Amino acid sequence: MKMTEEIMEVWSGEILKNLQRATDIFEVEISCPFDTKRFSPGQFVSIAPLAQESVMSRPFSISSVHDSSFSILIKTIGKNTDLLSEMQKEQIKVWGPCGKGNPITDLRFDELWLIGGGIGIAPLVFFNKVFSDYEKECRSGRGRVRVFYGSQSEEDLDFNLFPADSVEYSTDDGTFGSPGKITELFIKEIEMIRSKKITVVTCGPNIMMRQIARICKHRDVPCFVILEQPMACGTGICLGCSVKMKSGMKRICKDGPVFPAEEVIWDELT
Amino acid sequence: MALQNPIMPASGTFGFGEEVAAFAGMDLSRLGAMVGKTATLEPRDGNPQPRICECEGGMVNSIGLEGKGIDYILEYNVPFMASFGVPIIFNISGFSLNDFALLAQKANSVKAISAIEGNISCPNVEGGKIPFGSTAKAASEVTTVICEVTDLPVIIKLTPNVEPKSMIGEIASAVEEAGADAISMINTVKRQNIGGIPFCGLSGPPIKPIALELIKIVLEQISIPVIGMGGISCLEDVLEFLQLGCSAVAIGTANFSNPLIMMEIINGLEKYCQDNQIYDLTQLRGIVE
Repeated sequence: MKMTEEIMEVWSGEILKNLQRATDIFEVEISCPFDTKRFSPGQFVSIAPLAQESVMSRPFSISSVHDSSFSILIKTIGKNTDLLSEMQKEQIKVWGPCGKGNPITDLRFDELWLIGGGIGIAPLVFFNKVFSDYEKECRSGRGRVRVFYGSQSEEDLDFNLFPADSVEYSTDDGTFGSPGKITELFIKEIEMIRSKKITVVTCGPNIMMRQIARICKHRDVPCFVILEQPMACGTGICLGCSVKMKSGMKRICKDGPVFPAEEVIWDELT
Repeated sequence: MALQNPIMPASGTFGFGEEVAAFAGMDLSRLGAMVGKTATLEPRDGNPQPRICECEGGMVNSIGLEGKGIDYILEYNVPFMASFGVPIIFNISGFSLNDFALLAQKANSVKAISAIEGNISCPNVEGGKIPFGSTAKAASEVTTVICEVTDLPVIIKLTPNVEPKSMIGEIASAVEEAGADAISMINTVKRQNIGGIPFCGLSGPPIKPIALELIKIVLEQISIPVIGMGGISCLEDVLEFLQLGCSAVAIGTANFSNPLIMMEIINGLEKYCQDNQIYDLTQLRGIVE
């Protein structure tokens, strides 16, 4: 497991691929001039605003890295993401790696559970890759990665992200996988666990992460949450994403975006 | 205070330089000056979320002067800034005249600091209460207390949130008379109830015309230098402010959408000056209109 690099790069990234993966979900592959091994799961890139009237950069989690490029998973929610979803072979201004990466230093778990809600699945794709590779290398029979991926409906799910044998789906409307909220699936699964040591990483709506964090705390399961707030700079200077946490003020972009769940004061998040 | 060029960051868009310095291609030693985030007497958490939102082609913020307090800043942040060898403009803000006096006193004792910038205009604190900068009398008083305790050059940062607009000239004159060495303007433009934020300040391109209009009024009334800011996002904007008569300019919100914008502007300005045989920025003045 690598540590976050100190140096940040700004570059003109070429959109190498742009594929629609589900309703409103696109996988965008962007060229990268430096060694992509510098990216750690949980880190993100900032993309300069694309819309004429925008002045704030947009943060996007790294979902996968390739030899000289990386991919982000985006959901079209406004003008900038709409524009990004339509770009092919164009250049965009990108900077990163932003934020601190993988916080899991204690690898003595039997299973790593990655729980993603909606587009919150994006950073967990990278976590899955890194930890699955690690498990294979170790061949210890420990450290299995299980993914729980929930969305509102089948049409919102991206089925290209995980090998079929490592992921369990849920949909709110019951059109695919376990019917109901991802948190219900999580509760059902964790209640079956007796002696295994689990570590959880979750990303999605705050209400979902909050519930997962509460259950983890109750069961003494280490839980990391990947947070988001509107950011202007993505680099820790504007303080737009600062929130009060148990140990003081933290910038989601610079001190996070991955935090131990017990650090978070959920009522401080919007 | 001599600057190697007229480009500096606006307070609050630069932190204290650490994060900015981490960018490959960013050379802080090439800036005209460094301007830190506002220092307050005590550590402050600032405002709750939400704090920022895009609107009107710019953005509003309501950070609420989050910071670790002046003692921490002087001990840990200023030495880092000082390592680049460019003037440090130390931005302070208080909630009383006494606060300002204490802050200026503390800053005055630190050798690395080249000038004090009094932020008398932050509209986002204390529920949007009227800042010192909104009347000539209060602005004059706060300038006086800062000047009394420091030998450093004193810059007073003015708020554009004054009524009527012409009042800005009176405020600037009062500040000059009270002993300020320069004026910086403008801070953000007051807005209310944007994106769930009750009181906030607008920055970015939409405030540029407001900045230019108010700076023009001020320049007609005072003889001390003006550091211009408000929506500057490219070399053309910089030239517009310099041609109007500003002695230097600050880049603010534009730093968020391009971390290397200050380097690009400095390069652009150098080239512009070489191409046009400009050896002194006063040569630029009076070209507009």
